[in-house]
Amino acid sequence: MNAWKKLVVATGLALLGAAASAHAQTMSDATRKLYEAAKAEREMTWYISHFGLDNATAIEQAFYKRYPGIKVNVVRATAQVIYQRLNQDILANTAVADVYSSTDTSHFVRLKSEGRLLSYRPENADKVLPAFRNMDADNQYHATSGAIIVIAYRTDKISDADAPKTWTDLLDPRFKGKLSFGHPAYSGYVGAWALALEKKYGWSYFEKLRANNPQIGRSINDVITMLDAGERSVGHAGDGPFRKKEIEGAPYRTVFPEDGSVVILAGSGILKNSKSPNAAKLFLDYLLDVESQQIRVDMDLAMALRPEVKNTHGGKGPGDVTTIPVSEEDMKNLPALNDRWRRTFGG
Amino acid sequence: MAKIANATRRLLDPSTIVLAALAAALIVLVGLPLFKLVGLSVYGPDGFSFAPMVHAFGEMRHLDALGRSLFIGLTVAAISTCVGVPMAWLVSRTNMPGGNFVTLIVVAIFVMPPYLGAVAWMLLAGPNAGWINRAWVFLGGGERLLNIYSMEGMIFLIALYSIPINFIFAKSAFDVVPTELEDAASILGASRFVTTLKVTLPMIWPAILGGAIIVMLESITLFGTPALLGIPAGITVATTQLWQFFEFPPRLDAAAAYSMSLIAVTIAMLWLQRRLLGRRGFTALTGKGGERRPVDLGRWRWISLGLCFAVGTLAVFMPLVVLLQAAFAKAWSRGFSLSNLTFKNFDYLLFKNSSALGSIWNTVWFSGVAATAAVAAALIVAYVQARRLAPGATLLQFLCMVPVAIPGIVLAVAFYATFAPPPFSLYGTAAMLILAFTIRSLPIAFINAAATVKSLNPEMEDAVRILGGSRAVVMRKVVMPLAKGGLIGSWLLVFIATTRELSTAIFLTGPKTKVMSIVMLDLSEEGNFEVLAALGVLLLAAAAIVVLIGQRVAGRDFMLRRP
Repeated sequence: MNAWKKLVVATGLALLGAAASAHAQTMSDATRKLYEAAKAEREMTWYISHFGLDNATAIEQAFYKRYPGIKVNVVRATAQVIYQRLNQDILANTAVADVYSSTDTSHFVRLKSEGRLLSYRPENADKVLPAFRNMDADNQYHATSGAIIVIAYRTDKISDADAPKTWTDLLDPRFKGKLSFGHPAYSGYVGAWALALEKKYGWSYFEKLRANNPQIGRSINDVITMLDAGERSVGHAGDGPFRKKEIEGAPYRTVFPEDGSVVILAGSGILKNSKSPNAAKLFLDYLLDVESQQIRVDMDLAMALRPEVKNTHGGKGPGDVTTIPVSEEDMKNLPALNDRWRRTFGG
Repeated sequence: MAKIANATRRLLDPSTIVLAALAAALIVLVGLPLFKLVGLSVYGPDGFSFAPMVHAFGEMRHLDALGRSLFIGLTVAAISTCVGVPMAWLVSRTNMPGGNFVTLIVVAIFVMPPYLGAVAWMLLAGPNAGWINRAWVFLGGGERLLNIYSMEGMIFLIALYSIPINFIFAKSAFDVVPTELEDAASILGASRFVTTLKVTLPMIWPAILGGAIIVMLESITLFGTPALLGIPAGITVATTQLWQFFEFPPRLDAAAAYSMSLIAVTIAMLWLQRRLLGRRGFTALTGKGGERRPVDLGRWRWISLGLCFAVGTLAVFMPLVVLLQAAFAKAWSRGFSLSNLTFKNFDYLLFKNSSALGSIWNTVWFSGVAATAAVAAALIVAYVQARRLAPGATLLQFLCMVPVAIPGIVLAVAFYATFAPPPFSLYGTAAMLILAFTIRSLPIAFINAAATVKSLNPEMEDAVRILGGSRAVVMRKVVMPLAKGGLIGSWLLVFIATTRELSTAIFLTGPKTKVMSIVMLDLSEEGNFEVLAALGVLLLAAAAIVVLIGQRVAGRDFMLRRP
């Protein structure tokens, strides 16, 4: 194993050296200055909930290739869990996270009001598509990822005639015992989805949904597990991961509901007490880079934030579908919604 | 003058220094977080306050969850004792064929982390897609047979994976019951059955009770299985309720208050154990028993083996088949086929994922250090308490036993609050996890050590002391050789329990100190089942290697006793 490790590291370093020298010519002055300062910091920690672990790891490795000598420690969990972690750090008065990425925007609103975020505008912030620009007027957090929440179902269990076209279709008795959802108290995406649907149809939507006896997991991706197992056959899901499964050969189809998909912008910000502020700035800029966005699209068929990204699998942008908007203001009502949710569904 | 010299010598005796250091460490590591926890539960921002308690117990929902946990704990303890103890008896005292194999099955059950078993059972007994239900419907059984997302499903699973604890406790006791008393009963005309019931069982009663109590408390403080099965079923138990207190806005104080109830349960159970065992001595268990003649089961031999085998099938073989299938599948929903076969999941884990390999290594060495520390500390405390060598031994015993009542999550938070900030500043270090794991495993290690020490005859030790040997010599020359088998068994027990530890690790892992269970939880949250299964297979393989080495090193002293 050690010999292997050495070999891998050696080849990696050789490749990195080549890549770095090639890249060094294209670095802007500001970036080069940041990189020089960041080298002294050597490493930084990234709290992340909006990509899966494999995705986050791939980005961390690509970043190391681009900026040799700066290691990113990835800490990945669902939004509310990672937020708990951050609050633990704050309580313990230790600075662990340098960059914080969450799917629940209300976290940033709260962190900002507590004065824990650094104002910084990365170079790439002007190069993303207009829909993703200026998430925060004071540049304390920036949209670094987007997702469209859609309906997904198994084609081998649901016929084309029976396929759902809207969120309200899911209330139909034909889906009794076939539905699977995540839990708003764990997942930021599910929280936003629940708030959006409550806004559109009122809480009665969920009361009626209860009659269809849905299966409730934790993460929005738990739905994938349930559909994979054939335990359930219809659910909500981030558009990307599901279509990826479809391409891999699993019997899935995604539906952009006619009454509106839920589009979520997930943000990232730098913590004021960061011990590696230069590395953090460099990394935040990198999250908006064409290279990292391309990784997201290739791995998860995610929404591309940059127009230059090659959209190989026909991923959709926020402008391509009807949406039910959810604002930061709405997200503040999440704790109350979680309480309602538990009263309705138990758990 | 001589008196002073004597007192000084006694104070400077190495065993006194070791004991003092240990007491200090236990007080800091168990007492301080506990103190913090109690403080949180009765103090508000402006001094003493009932608010945390009111928030914790003021809602019927929260009380229901607690009641459910107690119910689960009692039922699980009853079921797993009724399965584990007879299995131990069959292996230890009868002529059932394949006894070693049955012990191996039990070890395998123990190595399987409950949450991994839960994931596998979701596929086996999911109401619609579970293989068992599909087979049932296919065979014309009509409606579905099992639903794992239910109270019964949870109890079944938790009990299934608790059996090893009862088994190991009971078997180590069965193995050292001297035959003389049984022979006496036989000579006086008692049948085998009556002898077992009236002589053997009472002799190992402390071990059975100890096992049952540990299982009950462990079941109450389990987080993984209730999270995986209970949340979909809409069933909240104490640990998942605790988790809810940490949601935004986090109510650490309410969580602390809520966990007080679990501590109270433990104290009650320990008190009950003492009451039931009373002041009777059980020193008839000596280190080396005489010859043991196995009970002849006649034609029940094979039926017994079949039943033991059935337990293994439910807990190990069936889950393993599902996990292996998924680990080597592109998309495991497509079932068994050559076109679905792939190594990409392992390739990803070993070469593409930065945290997986590191987490395997972390798991092994954290667990190893923690197991060593816990077993050593527990042995010293148990010995001092049994031989009444120092005042305050009962307090030390209490400190060793308390962690069983603190759910891993709460322990982790208390640890975090205590040791993350200066002066300790342990956050993100390996020490943080190792210490937490050590504290978590103290109860199991202690109960084991206490059982081991109880089986030692004090006369030999007294002889050494009379001949001028120090306590340290007694430990080295008498206690260690006699207790070796028990200690290695106990070390393996703690080691494997720690490799499966999930709830404690949740809050304490830093970016560089991830363990496998956490990586698995991440993967389970992501629905990445193929990779999760692959990592599970790696964890099982790693633990199996350790067990095999343990058996090599410990030889026949390790859980198997060769005739």
